[in-house]
Amino acid sequence: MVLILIWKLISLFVGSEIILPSPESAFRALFRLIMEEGFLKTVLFTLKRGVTGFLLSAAAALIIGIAAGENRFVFILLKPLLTVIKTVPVLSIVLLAIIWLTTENVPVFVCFLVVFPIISGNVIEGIKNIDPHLLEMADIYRVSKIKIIFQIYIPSLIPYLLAGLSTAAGVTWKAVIAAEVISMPRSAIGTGMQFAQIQLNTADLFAWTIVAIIISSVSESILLMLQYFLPWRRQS
Amino acid sequence: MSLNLHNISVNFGNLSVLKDVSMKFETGAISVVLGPSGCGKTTILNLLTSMVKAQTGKLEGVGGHNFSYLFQEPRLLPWLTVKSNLKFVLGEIESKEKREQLCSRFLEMTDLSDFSDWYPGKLSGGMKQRVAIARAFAHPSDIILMDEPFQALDLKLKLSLINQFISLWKGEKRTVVLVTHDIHEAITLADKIFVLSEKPASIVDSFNIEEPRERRIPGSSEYLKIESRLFRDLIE
Repeated sequence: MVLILIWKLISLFVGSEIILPSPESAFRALFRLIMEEGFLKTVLFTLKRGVTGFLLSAAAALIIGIAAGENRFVFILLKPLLTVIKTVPVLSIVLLAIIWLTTENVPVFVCFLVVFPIISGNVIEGIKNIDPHLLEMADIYRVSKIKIIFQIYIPSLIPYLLAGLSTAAGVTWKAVIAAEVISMPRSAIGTGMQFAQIQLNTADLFAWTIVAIIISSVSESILLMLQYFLPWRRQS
Repeated sequence: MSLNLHNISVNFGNLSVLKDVSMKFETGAISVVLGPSGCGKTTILNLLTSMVKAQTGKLEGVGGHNFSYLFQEPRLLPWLTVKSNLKFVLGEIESKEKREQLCSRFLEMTDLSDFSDWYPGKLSGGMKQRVAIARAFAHPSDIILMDEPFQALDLKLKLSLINQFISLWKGEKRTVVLVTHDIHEAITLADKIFVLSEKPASIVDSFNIEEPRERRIPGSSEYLKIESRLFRDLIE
């Protein structure tokens, strides 16, 4: 509320709808966008790209993170790669991806690369914190390796994984939408932003930004909330 | 076949832990290794599970066994219920029915039936250790190794757990090797006692206890006789 008030005051001060639209006109634009026929489709397509990239990346990061946490050699191979992925500007990745891939897949790919180091980093951290006493117990009781992975490794990793996932969820939408702005797939929030910007329709740009903020914060809180639904946490 | 240690010596780097130790753990009996804290008692258990290798000497009858292990801490998986914690070590039993049967039987014998769906986080320390005892007996082992599992409990709890352990053991007669620094625990449980010296540990005394367990009450003449012998062994 305070934020909107400040926004309103500054927009009054600036006095130009193109440079800074007032909150009313942004929300009016948002309402108009929502009412438009293609709105749902646009949002769903962006969601689809984000969720696909996110899930693929999470799965890969989990497997490779476990391997790197367990095996020093894999860790040594992975570390410089993670550093490179983390430091390369997102826009370089987007521009390269446009050369390599179809516009539809660029945001998925970019999302994958942005999410991967966050989640794999958390998984590696989680592996380091697995209770060696439990592993020793399982070893003496001759528990199979598969059972050890599913009943010691994965549950121990869940808190780290969920924390990583919720951080990554915030970043996902930034990356996906940035990639969409440049690659401009047919239905996409980023494409909508790009068009608004070209037409100097700043109110629409703000409206799309509000949509992006809502998606981002909802997905982040869903993942944060999951932690409280773990049965052994609820009971203790 | 009994477990035999012949003239075993173990060094960790420059540190000599066991020096020329020979012991015979009879099948179906409770053998107690009594010694001061930090004298290398646990190393003897680790030799039996092949987690530690001896530099010199010979181990006999150690291969091909299935071990259960009671640790100082319960070492339960916090994300599994009491019952699932038992099932965790029953992977070698093929029939699902048999697994269920074993779980209910040992949960009943340890008075835990009502708690089978509880998570360890909600149980008291004594109850957790009881789950660990049930797990040790449910596991299809022929040897139970125990590393001061009653130490963290208060006297009353300790006595009741020891009694529960003895009654379970009487029904099964598995080979038990218990290491402890507690004279009372040793007298109450042992068929045979080995007394170890300070590090590097060697055997200072070993003898069988013929008195039936129910007559080894603290203060009784049988108890006092054994106690004073152990006192002498440990102090000198």
